[in-house]
Amino acid sequence: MRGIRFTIHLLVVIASVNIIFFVAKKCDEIRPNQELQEFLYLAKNNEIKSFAFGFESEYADVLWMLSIQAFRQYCIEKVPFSEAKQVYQSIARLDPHFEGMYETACIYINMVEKKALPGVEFIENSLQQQPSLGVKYPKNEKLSKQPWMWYLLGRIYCLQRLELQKKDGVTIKETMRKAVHCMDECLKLSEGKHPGAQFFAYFLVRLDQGFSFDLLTWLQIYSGAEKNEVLRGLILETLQELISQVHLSSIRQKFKGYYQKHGVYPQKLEQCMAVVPVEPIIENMPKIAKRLLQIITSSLQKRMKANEIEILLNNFIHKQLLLEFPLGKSYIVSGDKILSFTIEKKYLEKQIRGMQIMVDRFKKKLGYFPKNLQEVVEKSGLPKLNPLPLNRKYTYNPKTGEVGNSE
Amino acid sequence: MVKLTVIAINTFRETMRDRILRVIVGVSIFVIIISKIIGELSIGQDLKILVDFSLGTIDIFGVVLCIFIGANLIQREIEKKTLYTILSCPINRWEFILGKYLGMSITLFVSTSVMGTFFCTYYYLMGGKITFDLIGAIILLFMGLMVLNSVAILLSVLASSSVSIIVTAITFFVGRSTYHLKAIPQFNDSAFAKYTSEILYYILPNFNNFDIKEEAAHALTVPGEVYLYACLYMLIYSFLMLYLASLAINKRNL
Repeated sequence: MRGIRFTIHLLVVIASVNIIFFVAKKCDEIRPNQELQEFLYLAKNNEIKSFAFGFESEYADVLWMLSIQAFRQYCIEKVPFSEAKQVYQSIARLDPHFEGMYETACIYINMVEKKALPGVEFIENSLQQQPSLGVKYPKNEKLSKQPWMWYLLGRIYCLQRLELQKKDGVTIKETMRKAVHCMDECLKLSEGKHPGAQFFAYFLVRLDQGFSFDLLTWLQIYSGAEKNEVLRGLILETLQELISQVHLSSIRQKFKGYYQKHGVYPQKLEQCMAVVPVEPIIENMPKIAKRLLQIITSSLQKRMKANEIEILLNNFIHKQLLLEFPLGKSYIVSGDKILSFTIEKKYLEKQIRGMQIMVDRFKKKLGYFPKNLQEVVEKSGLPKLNPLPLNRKYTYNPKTGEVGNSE
Repeated sequence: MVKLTVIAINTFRETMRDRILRVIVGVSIFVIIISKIIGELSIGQDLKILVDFSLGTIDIFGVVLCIFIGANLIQREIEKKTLYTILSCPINRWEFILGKYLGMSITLFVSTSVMGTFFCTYYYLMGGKITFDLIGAIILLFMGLMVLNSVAILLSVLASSSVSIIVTAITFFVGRSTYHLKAIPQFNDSAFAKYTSEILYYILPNFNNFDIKEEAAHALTVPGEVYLYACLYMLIYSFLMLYLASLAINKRNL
């Protein structure tokens, strides 16, 4: 009798455990019991689990930081950032109000991806769709009626031009036309009150005429990248290049004027200019960037108009810079050309890096390193081996496939 | 049936008289009120935080009730020797266990309802929208408490008050982090570890099945199946625990 009872009890327990197994599995299928990190790192399913406290924007921040880390890794170790698009889309979905700070993330990702910003597509779609994604807005209100969305899209188009040359036939000009349209739309919806759109609309229309827009964009990113040394370094180099370009354009005008007047090119720049600008050295660039930011901040505080700010910036670059930072490299006069050492050095690095990529591809395709660089040119279908700037020559090690340069 | 009802009602009365219940419900209402202030710390997400924080409060304080009242329920009867009087009456021991369980469940239902109603009213007054899933989240939390209650009663039969309180608390925390068990095979190639972790994963009560706070906070739609299977899980798991508790009390020399 006791044996039968025991068997019945055992059967009941086994049956119950089996049913629990079945129901628990079913529960897991319907609603997976997953660990947070699986979602955060976007390992499998391109989803973010928004958990406790509802800090969705906090996740967006986490992802933003991840994208920066990945960008840094890319800059230092050349590790590809394959999840860039996923990360960006998730940021956008998590925090539809991602004005300001995430714009910077856009540009990082853009630099890594070297193609259209994934955010553009997202915002474009958001502007077209019917229901709102934003938690703050009622469902029936369209995002297309939100000035900030248009402003954001316009800003992203502006950033897009920094890296994009062409994307599916969309040229920089086309991108800028779109940016202007977005800013106009923003101004229309805000009844002309959106200060950011006013500012950008002014610079965008006259982008071809000056450097200020690029300078402002890079300074804005620089001011937001306090703790990112790698990015700050890159931006300082870019700013140095921008200033050199501004100097070169004014020097070339004077140079051309001298030629028209005397029929010969000047041997020295002093012959055509009373005050000869010098290229700022990289060591001075943090201070120069700080000064430029000061000028912009104080101008904005004084509620100066965009054109007045531009005049101030030009004045600083052409006059004040030499007085405050006299140390610098002279621009190179080479026959009928005026060259900047910084720009030429960058071009040199680009050429060498390009050739190194060609050699690596050659090895991957044919299984051996080319005997010399001429072989790469012949078998890759390149027209010729481009000469290096600054009178440098290619060096090549056929054993290691390493490309370099020498005097 | 009458005996069962009498035990359940008496247990309910007894637990309702417990001072800890009133303290816990009072504190939870206070926490729900201040969750709005915490919500203010975020930008534009105050209502989400209110929902998440309040549901978390209902959950945690319900668990505290289960642990401190539920885990003590049978043992207190034994210590006060009232159990001998009850069992001397014509009553089955399983009826006593079930009655205790139902009585405690009514207490949990009342306390969860009070906290839930207060939260919903407060949320509505703050501009939130009461959805089915929001109420569903509270119902699921209550179901989770029913499971924990059954575990507490089993442990209360098996061990002393302090041990059952500690083990019930551990069971709750383990049941809330069962996903770690799922992750073990990823780091360990051993077949033994794999099967053991899988068996433990399914045998231990998985309280995440009753936790839809995230979905409720983000106004996401929860499929009806989630409620259905959570309810089935609660019924079968509670049945097993109470069955084992009945067997255990039958074995005890009382």
